[in-house]
Amino acid sequence: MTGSALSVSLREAVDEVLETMFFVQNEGQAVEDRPIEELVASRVDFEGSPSGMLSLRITLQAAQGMAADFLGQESSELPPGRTTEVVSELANMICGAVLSRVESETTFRLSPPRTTIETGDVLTGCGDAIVCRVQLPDGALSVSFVYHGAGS
Amino acid sequence: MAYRLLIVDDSPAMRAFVRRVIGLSGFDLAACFEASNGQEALELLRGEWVDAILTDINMPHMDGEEFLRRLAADDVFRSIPVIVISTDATHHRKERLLAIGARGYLSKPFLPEVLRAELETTLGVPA
Repeated sequence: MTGSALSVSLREAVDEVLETMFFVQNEGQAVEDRPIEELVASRVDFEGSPSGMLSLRITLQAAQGMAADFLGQESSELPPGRTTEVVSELANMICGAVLSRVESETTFRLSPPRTTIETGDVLTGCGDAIVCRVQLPDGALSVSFVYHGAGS
Repeated sequence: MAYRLLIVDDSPAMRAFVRRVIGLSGFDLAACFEASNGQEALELLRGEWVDAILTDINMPHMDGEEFLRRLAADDVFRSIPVIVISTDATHHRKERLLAIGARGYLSKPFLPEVLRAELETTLGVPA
């Protein structure tokens, strides 16, 4: 699969998960030069054929808003740790949705997401990853995807 | 008729989401139990009858595949319909899980009305 086809699959998967499960509309490509800020970072590795990883970074305020919408609660009512749990689910679902688009006939296994709260630039990608950057109502999201297909 | 459901998922957030979506969809729910893996679900089923089970696949201690096998091997539990909710929408995975006893398969992301339709079809709820 080409890089541009993967990029399209990643964008489609991100949009589908945001709209269907989080009731959030992608507001376009996130603007560059964001300040250093608090963010939630999550990583999911997948193994088998294909193998690779998905890394996701979302601004803390946006993550809290999405967690509240996902659970039908106010942001101020969320128990400790619930925002990172929801971001883990977000990463898990996007990863599964991308892989199901690009490898519908094979099997893969996702590792449990590893999710932390950090400070940094939310739009930082990693290495040779395909990156999708999204502007959200309360912040920004970036998703990096590294993929080693069966034939690559 | 109102139904008794069991949601099995290691993520408390996902269990809360599924429970919320079932409520929002208008599905007639009498009771909703939760378990964080297959082992916990089997223990719960020894004390509570449910009409259907919604289960994740990737869980610690006892994953969804082993849970399905244990249900299928039990004379009483094998009659409870199980719907798998998974991030994996590949044909291979779906066919394997249906072959070992799942009655329905729902891949994430899904719309509330799709979950309700899957539940109603699995339970044979009249239209």
